[in-house]
Amino acid sequence: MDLLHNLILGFQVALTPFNILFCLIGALIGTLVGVLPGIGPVATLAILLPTTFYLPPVAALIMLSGIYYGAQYGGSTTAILVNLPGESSSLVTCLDGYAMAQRGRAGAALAVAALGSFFAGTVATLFIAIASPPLSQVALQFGPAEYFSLMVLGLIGAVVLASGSLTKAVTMVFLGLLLGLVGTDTNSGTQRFTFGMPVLSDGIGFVPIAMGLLGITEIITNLEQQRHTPVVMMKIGRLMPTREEFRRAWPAVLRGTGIGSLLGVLPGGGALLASFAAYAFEKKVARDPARFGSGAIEGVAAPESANNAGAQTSFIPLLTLGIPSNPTMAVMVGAMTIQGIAPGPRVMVTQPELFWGIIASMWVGNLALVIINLPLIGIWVRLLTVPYRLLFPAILLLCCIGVYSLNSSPTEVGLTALFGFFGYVFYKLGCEPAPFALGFILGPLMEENLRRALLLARGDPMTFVSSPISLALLIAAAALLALVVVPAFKRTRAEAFREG
Amino acid sequence: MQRGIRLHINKDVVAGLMFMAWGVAGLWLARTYPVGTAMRMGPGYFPNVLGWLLLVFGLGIAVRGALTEGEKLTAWYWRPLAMVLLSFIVFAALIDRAGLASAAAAATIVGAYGGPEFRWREVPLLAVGLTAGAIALFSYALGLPMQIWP
Repeated sequence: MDLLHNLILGFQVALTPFNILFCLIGALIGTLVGVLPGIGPVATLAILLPTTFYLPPVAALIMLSGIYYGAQYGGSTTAILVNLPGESSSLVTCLDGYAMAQRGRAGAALAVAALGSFFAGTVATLFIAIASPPLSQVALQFGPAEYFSLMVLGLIGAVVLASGSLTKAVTMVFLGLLLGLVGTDTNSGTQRFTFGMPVLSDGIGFVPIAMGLLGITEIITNLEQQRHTPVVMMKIGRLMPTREEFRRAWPAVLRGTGIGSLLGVLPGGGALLASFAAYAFEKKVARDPARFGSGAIEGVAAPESANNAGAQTSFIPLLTLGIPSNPTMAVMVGAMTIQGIAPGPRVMVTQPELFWGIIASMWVGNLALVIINLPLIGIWVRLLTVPYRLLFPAILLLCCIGVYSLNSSPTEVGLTALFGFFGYVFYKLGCEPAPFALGFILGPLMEENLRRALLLARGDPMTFVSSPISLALLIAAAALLALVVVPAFKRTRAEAFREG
Repeated sequence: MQRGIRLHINKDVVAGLMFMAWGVAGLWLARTYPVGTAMRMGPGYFPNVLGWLLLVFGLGIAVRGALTEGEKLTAWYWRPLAMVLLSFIVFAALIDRAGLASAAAAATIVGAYGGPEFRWREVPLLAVGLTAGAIALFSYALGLPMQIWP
């Protein structure tokens, strides 16, 4: 069987000592940033991007993906014990998780969160392994017109599912696309927007952009909120859930896994959306919704399973189509580019060991995370007492050296600061950086495919609607946009992002 | 009673103006790039389209913002912003001239000054510790070719 054969290949790659080591490092760093409020996985990935330059591609990507799903485990710990979301995708876990902790059931909540995440991770891993090959088969047939339409759909999806003002998000995409064009035009060799600076002739590096916009801005805004975390820790208590808790939790884990796996694949989807949707859904199907908010175990089990499943399945569009669906995946594209890998359907054919190695490592990482999280939970909790005033200079220094080490270019360090400034301006004006990052990554690709498609069609724009695949993708994009205008959906969207 | 339209200044108005500024800058910088035709696009085609889109959407956002209450602008916190950015600039200025040791120490101290509290006894220790750690990790363990001392 093909699937079995592929998974065996994957495990052969993932289970080499070297790759296990980096899977563990990723899972540990992920747990760390998950536990600590104020540093998210996107910022961490952006900050650690330069270090992956020195690793072989498989180890680099295994480590980075470990950080993303590892953060989903760690985030629940802080949410349950301290009532602070360690991670935005654990926001809803606070509601019932902390309430459980107040009743002395923190241990059970933590255990259900970790085991639910593990179950979700296992299912999501299988889901990726099964869904990816056919999807990449389809994608291999794509011409430039189909690719262009796919990117339109991806960008619109990301915008619709993002929180905040839709028009501003769309405009941020345009701005990202524009800045993505900086550098030498591949067709004509013209230098665009380079101001005659040699550092810019290859385009603005993704590392300065990602680190500045997603990492530094986060540090500055954290400092401005002056987080004096009054860490009032709850007692963990017995880890074992009672029979009653177990009976209530497992269907919620199943539902959360299903919702998370599906929502992760959507453009704009991922851990955050998955956890909110799963919590809202639990409340809908519960026989007694009033229990939610006062320590319903389903309110922990479902979103925690969903965010882990969503974190993992959001790799599907990246690995099969080469289209990042959320900013974390955009950073993964950056990592692949640093390694000289062009993300897309070809990766599975030309580098099966990379593709299946990453997938198999996800299961290995999930297994490691259960061990890291449950017995060792005390260590992680103690980390919360490290004050931010000692932590953030260390992060800043890591950023400086990281950017510099890539090209030994002080100018790029300066560029990072510049984008940190822009990021702060965007934050102050309520403009989200995520659509910008996606636009920036897709900008050159989109222009290239648009040009090629129109060249092949002799300048006839009908080429985008005459191909059935391209037409279907554009219709889906238009439908998504139309959906947002419907008042009922608008309300749900606003509610979903307010609080489960 | 006063009649007529009341204009507001809020996040959307400023955001719209910012987008328009980016659009104008893009169009102005791209004015010399050949646009070409839809079939054979020149290097100026896509930038021009995006420049106009930014301009039009920015205008729309600003106008709509001015007509509605919207979200109020919030105060800027200059100290963390300036110090964090300055720590990068200090690092960039020193790294090639003075080496990793002084660049790292200076960046740490400047950055720490942006924090909510700056403890005079703690920060030098932190700077020395982080610098030593950075040299050990990046220069010795990872073997990056970086000059350490001036």
